Amino acid sequence: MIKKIFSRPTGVFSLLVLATIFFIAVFGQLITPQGPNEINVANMLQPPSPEHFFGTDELGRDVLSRTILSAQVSMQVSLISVSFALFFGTAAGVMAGYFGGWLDNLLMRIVDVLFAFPVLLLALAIVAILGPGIGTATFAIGVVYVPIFARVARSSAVSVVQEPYVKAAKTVGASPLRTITTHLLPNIAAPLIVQTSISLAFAILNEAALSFLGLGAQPPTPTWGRMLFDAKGFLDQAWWMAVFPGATVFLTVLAFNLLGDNLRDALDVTVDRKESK
Amino acid sequence: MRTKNGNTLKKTIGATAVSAALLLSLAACATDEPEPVENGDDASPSTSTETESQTLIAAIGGEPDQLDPHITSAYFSFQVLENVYDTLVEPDENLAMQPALAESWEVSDDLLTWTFDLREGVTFHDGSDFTADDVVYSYKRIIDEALNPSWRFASVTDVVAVDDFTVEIQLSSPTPNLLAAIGGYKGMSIVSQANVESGEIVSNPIGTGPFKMESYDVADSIVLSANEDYWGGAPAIDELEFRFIAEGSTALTALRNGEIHWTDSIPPQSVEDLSSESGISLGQVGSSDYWYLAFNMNRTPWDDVRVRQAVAYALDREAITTAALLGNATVNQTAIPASSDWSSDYAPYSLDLETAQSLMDEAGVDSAEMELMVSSDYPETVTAAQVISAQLAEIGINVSITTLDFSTWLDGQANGDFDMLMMGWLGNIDPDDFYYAQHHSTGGFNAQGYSNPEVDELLDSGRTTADPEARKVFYDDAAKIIVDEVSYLYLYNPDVVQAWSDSVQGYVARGDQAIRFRDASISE
Amino acid sequence: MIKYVARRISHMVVVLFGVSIAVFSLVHLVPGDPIRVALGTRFNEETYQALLVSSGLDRPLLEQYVTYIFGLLQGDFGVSFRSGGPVSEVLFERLPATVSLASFGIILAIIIAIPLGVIAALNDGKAADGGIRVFSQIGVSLPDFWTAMLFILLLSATLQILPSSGYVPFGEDPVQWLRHLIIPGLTVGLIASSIITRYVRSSVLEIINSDHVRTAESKGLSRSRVIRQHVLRNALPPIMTISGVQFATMLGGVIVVEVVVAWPGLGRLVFDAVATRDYPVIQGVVMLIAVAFLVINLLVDVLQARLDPRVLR
Repeated sequence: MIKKIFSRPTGVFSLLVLATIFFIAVFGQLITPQGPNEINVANMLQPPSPEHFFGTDELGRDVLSRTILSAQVSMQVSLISVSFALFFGTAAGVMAGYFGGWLDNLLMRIVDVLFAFPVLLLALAIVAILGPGIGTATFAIGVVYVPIFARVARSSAVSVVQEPYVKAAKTVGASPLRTITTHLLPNIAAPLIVQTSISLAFAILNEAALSFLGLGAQPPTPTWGRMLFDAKGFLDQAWWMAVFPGATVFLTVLAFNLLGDNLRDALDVTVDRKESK
Repeated sequence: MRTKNGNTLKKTIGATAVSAALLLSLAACATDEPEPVENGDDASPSTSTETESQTLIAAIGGEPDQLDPHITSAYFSFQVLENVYDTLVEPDENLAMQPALAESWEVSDDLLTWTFDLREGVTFHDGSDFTADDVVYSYKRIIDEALNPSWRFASVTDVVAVDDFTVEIQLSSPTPNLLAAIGGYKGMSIVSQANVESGEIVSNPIGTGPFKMESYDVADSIVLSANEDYWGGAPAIDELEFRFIAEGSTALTALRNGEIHWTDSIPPQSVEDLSSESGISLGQVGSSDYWYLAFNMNRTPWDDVRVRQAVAYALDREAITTAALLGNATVNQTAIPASSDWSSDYAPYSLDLETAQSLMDEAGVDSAEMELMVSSDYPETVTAAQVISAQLAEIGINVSITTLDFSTWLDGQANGDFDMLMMGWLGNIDPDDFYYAQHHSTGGFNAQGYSNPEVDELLDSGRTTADPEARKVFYDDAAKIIVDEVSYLYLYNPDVVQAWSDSVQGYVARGDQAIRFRDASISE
Repeated sequence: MIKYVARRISHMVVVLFGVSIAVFSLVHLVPGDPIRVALGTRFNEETYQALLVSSGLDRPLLEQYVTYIFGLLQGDFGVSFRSGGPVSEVLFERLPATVSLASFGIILAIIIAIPLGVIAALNDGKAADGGIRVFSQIGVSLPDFWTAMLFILLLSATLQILPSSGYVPFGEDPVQWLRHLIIPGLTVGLIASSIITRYVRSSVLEIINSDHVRTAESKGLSRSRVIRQHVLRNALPPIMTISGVQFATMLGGVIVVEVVVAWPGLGRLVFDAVATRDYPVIQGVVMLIAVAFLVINLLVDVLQARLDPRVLR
């Protein structure tokens, strides 16, 4: 599988970008040229130069340093939130698919309700209820992606449940938990892996959007979305404030999407239209 | 203001409170009642010779929530309503109260009854006559329905129409700031009962002002047309259009391209460029708004005055002001701006980390965690908070910033969920507006929990003392204690910044942010 | 078929009921007091109480919900706290801007997506296919608000050929309407186009490889004729499906783009309503979006079911 991904330029590109982003997310503090929150009002809105490759912002902070340190927050938020969604969504979807009946109906109607909400509005409401911050943004994004995983897991589980070996396990009286872990999960893993990669991409976009609306990490903690929010008021004077952090978000998201695309081919998975939202 | 009103409170203020120049112009419209109509005709040849009517287009930063002056609290609404409605009296450029719908007024010897003589021959935009009943209806509506501005009538016991053009306001205690209360802003407008009862007032208000409602394009613009019968003379322009443009840079581009004539949504960073730009006039005046920090005195260590003073010594107000507004503001250590007759020059603090540190040591506080609550709806508070956070780190205070939307922020303030907060008070005129609700121990907006009987006494006296000289002393003394004990930590008075095309004549930027286009004209 | 539609509609009603409960609970859970916001910074306790009573917020939550639901059933969305006008009117006023943007976006997206998708499918595995696949990944990877900002930076701030924000109704000035539409329209259209491109590619690919297309080709019909007659016709339903879903998403989901370019649509409305805690408006927008989403989904599913009866399981 890995070999197949490495055989394509887009696969190589995505792995390289992601490796870089992970590296700066982990070692960001060690490689920033300047403290990300070092304020120098006298040095504000400086264009890119050898001292400040990405220029400075409205408080004279180094845009490059802030862009680097934002990676940490964004990666943390997207990894944790997608893990959350993967776990709870899969659990709900597998239960619905395995047991069927009223449980299936109930869970899927709840999923339908969540789907009918605009994604960002739901996240916005959850953050507003719990108060803004990294933790709540992570939770909100996680909740928003639960229904997607639930649907993916359910639709795969429904077909696997019909397989003779699962039916056999049921009739010999194997416990549901055992049947699910030994027979169901391994057979529905592929679409979930692909969905995880795509959701990581969307989680980064959503974290950026939430921060852009002032609901993500709190200042002065740098995040890409927050930096873009600040940049919005200075589009005429300081294009660099908008271009560099935005381009970094774009590259990261693109890398996750390309990885998902390659995984899909490598694992031979088709993802239904509703799941790709 | 203080000296002007000084010895006139028992007399007819309208005649004496104004400067000579203003007196002339006011006398002209006060004595020759029918003349405004003729004035309007005189003014019209310049416009009627042109085939196109003159429209002044003003860009404001957002859409009014609704247009009922007694209900809305949004500045965007009042920008429009300023040109549609009248109050009994209205502030001039120096914020002294001048005749408007009331031509003159008297106060009884016991200071408990104010009698207003109303202007005759004024009509509403629907053609109905303006009389004392309209004043009584408007004020009683505010009081009886407990509408938004009703707090300004706290001491009013009754409003009575003595005859068609005389109104009496009866008070429970002397209220020297009554004129500021009824004329300070258009929330105290005289409205039309029929307009209220039809429910149309929320979108199609009918007033007595220089312009009348023409059309309302949701989320885009409001068009007003000149009231040819305006008692102060018909406006020179035929139409006044307010466009809602939230983004400052967009508004400026529109101004430069000649798509609009006037705007007040100007990003601070553009002010310097604008001041030297040809074809554009920049109006920049100090406002009577102020921005401040307040500590939660129900929490340690902020209940210790020494810690609060330490913070006051650790902050560099100039740097905060530069970051927040790029210097388009005046730093101040009290609330009232220097331009006001009520201001005090008391300024005990300066950036002094040594003093700050020794105050912290005295209080026995090595380090402290501080939650600073600001609002994303007021971006300058978020910017300033980041500078404040860096500065306070120097004396061992570790600031974490909480950015909330204003709704949640207001909840946080009411529930005391903060260590320190930053916000501003806008549209203050009388010194009572600046201090009472914020620092009196029973004040409605004393969220910081400040209580000092001496300050209470001074503020109570200020409220009921008629003599402005004596009042000023009360407020100066109160301000000194408030600053010394850091009930509020005052930061700055922002500038009002407005820009308009050079083709616009006769418009003046005002410190109270009332935008009046009745005297504006456009030359091609 | 009728049975299928009836079942779907009954599901829809259940889901809408769930949405109404969810949005009602959410708005009441969110901290921030609509009365305090409406009153601004200075007011007294009597004013607060008076407004609390007149807005109905002093009554028990259950009673408020029941009142709301009965109103909804009669087509009454309630009264906006902010403007004092009926919510249905407020929603109606915002529809033209949102429908303009969504229509422009979806038309642009389809115009881009169909040729690209077909070219990619016909060149399956070749360089053109690879390039188009990367393009479609780029589109979905762009943060929409950042894309809008870049367009503003380029087309408005630098080249000064388009207005950077705002909206002009079509009826007022069609040219200005279009000029204002381009930046947000390009932004949402570009993103939708890359999603649709993928579906065009895969559905065309599937049909090219199907038996009857091979038969047609073996009968000696020209390739372009086969594509026109068979492939596009058969590939159309799934393309319409995804376009419908994208259209529904745009009707309700472009909050951030609308905020960036000050577009007076439903997204901007709901954003402002959240800021001012205008409960009736928030509920109204969410219900409207949910209905639009569900109806469009139903329509495309019914369409699909007519063409492919296997869906009627």
